[in-house]
Amino acid sequence: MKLYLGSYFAFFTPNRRHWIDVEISDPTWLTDILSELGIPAAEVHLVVVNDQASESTDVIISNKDTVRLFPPVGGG
Amino acid sequence: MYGTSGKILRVDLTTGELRIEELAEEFYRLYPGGKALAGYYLLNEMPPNIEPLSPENLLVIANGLLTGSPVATATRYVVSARSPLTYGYGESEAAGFWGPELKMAGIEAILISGKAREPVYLWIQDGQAELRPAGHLWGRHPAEVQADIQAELGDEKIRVLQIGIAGENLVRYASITNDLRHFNGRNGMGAVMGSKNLKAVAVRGHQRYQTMAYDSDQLMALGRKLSQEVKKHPASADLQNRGTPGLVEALNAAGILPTRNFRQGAFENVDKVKWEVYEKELLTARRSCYACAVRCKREVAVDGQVSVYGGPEYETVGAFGPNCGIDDLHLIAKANELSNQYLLDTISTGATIAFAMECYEHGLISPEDTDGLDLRFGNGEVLLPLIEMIATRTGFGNLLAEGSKRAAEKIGGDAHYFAMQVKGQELAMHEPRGKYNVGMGYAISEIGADHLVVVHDPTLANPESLAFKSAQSLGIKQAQPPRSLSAEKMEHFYILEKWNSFEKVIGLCFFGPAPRSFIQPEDILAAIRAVTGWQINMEEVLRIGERATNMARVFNVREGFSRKDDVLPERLFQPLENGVLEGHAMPREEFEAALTQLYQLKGWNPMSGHPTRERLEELSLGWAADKLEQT
Repeated sequence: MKLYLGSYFAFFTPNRRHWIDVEISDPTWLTDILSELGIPAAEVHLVVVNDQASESTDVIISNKDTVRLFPPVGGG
Repeated sequence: MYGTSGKILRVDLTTGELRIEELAEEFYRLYPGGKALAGYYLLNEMPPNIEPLSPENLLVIANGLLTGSPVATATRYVVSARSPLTYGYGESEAAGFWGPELKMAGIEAILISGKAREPVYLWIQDGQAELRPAGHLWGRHPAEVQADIQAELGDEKIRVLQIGIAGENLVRYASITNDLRHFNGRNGMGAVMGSKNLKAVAVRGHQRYQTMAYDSDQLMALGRKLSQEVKKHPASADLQNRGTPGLVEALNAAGILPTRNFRQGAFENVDKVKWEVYEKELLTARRSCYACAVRCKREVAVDGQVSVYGGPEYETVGAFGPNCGIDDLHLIAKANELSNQYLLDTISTGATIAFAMECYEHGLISPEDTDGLDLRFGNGEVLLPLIEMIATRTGFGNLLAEGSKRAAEKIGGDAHYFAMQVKGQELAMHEPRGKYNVGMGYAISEIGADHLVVVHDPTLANPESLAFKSAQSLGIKQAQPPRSLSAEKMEHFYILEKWNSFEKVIGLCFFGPAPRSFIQPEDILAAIRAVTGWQINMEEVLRIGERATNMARVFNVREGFSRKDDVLPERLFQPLENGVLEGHAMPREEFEAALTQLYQLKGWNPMSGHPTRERLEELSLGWAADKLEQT
């Protein structure tokens, strides 16, 4: 799967990369993938799976999916 | 009294008289700076119904209790007067270095009345003040004015707050700058200064904040600790890395990036205006405000030259970019520089241009009205000419210089539908249909639509998040979804509004303290104790915030405002046209019910929205209730 780490989530990867490839053999809960990567699911506000948005990381992901994660964003 | 000189400088520009008064500690504990001092003096020293751009308006510039302290994000001061844009209570905060410098100069607040016969500027140094002629500075751009004042007074460390040509020309949303890069943008405070023939306020101080504190060792230790914690926090590190322009992409993905005058929530060319492009093509440096570890300010190059006026913030990228359908980030940076050179509020400027574009596309105005400019959405060619025409009140720009509400009244027909404003002030670049508290904040705000009334809903949507946990000591009990106006959420709104108001009183930025969670509420209480020696608790803190909000509301009630003015533009009750929230609208009946509930929580009459005597007396504002009864 292709995973996009929006905003500061990139800080949880080596070299602060925004796009990473994650190999998953079977469909897997996104929450579990994040847990393995060390990304705090509690800080995820927006999950976009193949252009469909949701507010929960409790979604099942397969290897062909593109997933984008964003933290909450406020005023500026 | 610790933590403040307690000194107020009074300036009567008509007579040229300057006078310093000292505040008593009991008074200052009720009104510890910023928004609270502004509300107190505007209500007590100005009769209702004065014309905002007349000598009768009172201009208040006030530091917060913590402004200039070694606590990260405590850098802000407020400028306040009756607003020429809303005709209600006017207020705008800015950060930077000027507020701390005023603190070091031994002055807490400046009250400016009357009008000078010729242009002048005010010069304050270590508790001494004088008015100096500014005829040679009038009509000139900020960078030159600042350099001339520093040269004239022989000190390049002098901090200069000033208006630009837009303020001189009384554009209703003219801004004020300090140090060229920090702005009191909203509510037209620059026009109030312009109407008084006051070009600038130059300040130099040599006092050290620590020497004013009750327990300076504890304060310095706390300051160091907070600085370390702020640097470690991942969300703070993101603000340091990208700053507010980093918001563009996430807002677009969430369907809440205001696009084409709030018709849409997603912009098809977002990839051209997102942070990666900003960083690659514009960014030259990252900068900070006084002693702040967040360091969210950007510096950019425009046309190959480093701009002295700072880089565009998210609000500016949004207002001149997607909200006008424009996808050229270089042009947006140029528009930012030009607006900051003339000193126009970039939010109201961009939003008023977007309004004009929609009127044009609907045939309400034609090239004959616009001096031949083709105002279609996305036509970047009109942007820079329009900014110049607004600032100089030339041709069609003279109409737009009045703001979208007044321009709509003159254009007539359905134009009012396209004016995205509340109480005359244009919406900031945040889409309420995806975050209902932001909409409630736009409606209920005393200064007209603004995005800094309460923390934005997504921040408190997850009970496990750092932000939610940091907000619990404020009294936030349950996480709430962004698109909800439930009874419990309104109880939270009531608390969060008091907290934000308190931050405006004591000079804190919103990019640090809870619910942003870089700084915990307990540390803010500890800082106030170390600064003043007061045994202050959360209850007193929230009461200070609520007191300030109520003074602003009483001011507006006196000017004829009521529930009828706490409204949202009709468009927000209609569905969004695209993006992941396509089809979503603000629910009208729920919104009205939530507003009623909020009034009840605030102790305001649910029909009129006026504060009750009972609540005002609970807030030690019996004197304000007397004033209401006299009107």
